[in-house]
Amino acid sequence: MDRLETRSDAGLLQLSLAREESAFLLLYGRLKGGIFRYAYYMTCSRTEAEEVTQEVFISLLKEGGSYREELGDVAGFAFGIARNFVRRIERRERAYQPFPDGDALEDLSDSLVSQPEALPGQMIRSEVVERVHTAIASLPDHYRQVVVLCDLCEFSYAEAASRLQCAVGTIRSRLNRAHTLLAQKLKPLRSRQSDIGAAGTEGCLV
Amino acid sequence: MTCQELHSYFADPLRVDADLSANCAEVAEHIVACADCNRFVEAQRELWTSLRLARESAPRLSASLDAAVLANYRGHIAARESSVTPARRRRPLAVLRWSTAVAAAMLLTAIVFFSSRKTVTTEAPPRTAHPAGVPQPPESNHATVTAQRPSRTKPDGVLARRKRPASSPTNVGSSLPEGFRGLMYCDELSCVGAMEMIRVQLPSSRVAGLTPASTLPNGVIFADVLVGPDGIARSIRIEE
Repeated sequence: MDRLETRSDAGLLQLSLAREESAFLLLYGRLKGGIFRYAYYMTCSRTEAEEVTQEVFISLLKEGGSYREELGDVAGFAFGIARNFVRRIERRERAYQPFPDGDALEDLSDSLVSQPEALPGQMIRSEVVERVHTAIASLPDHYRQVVVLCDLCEFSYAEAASRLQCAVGTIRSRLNRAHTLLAQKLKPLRSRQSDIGAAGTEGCLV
Repeated sequence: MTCQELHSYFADPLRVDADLSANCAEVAEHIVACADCNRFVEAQRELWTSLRLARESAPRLSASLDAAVLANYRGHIAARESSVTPARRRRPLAVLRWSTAVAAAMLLTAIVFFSSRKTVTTEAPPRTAHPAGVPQPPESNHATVTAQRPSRTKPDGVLARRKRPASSPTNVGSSLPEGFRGLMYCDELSCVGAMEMIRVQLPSSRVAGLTPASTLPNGVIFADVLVGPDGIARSIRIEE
């Protein structure tokens, strides 16, 4: 495993295709977080994010032979696959009404049981998060991609430019415009956000 | 710090994140004096807080996903191995199949070839058995016939003909060749085209009135028949 740690993603992919399971596990560990977060922020669904993550690695195994290192790194290759799967899911789900994500409700109910004193803050936080997700989802796709990559997945401008195959300046300008749009969409939240920190039984009594 | 500098300062979200927590003194000093920039910075902070909340809302990857991906990997590898191994085993079998197919095709071709030859042989009636001591029909020296082959008779002995193209087409329009007797009316309109001469063996009883002076002991006579392109006999000549 120590020998594998020093290998690049491309080397790990080759070893994975050559039936080296430990190499595949290492590559999976390196890539899964970014792919899952990207898919989650784009779909706002944990189930679909997991579906995308799984499909990406299946596709990597099937199509990994066609990967060429000179065209980009494996993470970018996997990101391209994830992006296509996300688009496919969006097309598939377009015909249906959005449904509240059950995971957030489960987390909220868990916190209600374990931390009853944090109930108002948790509820407001969940509502804020849901509205932020809704606002991001309502952005045009090229703005949404940049916000998800730079603000939520914490990619650098250069990484985002590499993933989206555009210039760094394009990323910067798109992000600026996306922030302006988001700030307009999130104006009603400002009053609620100020309550997050102060929420509690004392706040209710006062 | 000017308003433009403040806006450009907040253009980079990473710097915003780092410096807002530190509460940059320059920004604080400027927004006290500028109400517009104050609202702008407030909006940026709230936006950043919202994005941070959204970022932190991402759930962790479940262990079941890791297990599923690993199971997929093992299944993929196993399927690939199973698909590779039978292919290697199948390769000699495929060669055997192809060689068998080629051999069958060659055998079929040979059968068709020999059967066609055999069919020709069987379809052709056997030569008339000449009794011992019976002389073979003499070769004709007629001017219209250049090649004569042994005639064949059908089993009933009535008419066996073998087409032989006349080397020089015989036009019987105006006059019949020497020794031939006309069997139908012929002129230049009705008897146009090349004629074929056929050597036949006939029972002498079938050609009453044309019986030659000499007849074979078994009552068979030889005759040359001129046949037109329509297959109708035009004239006949009894071999003497």
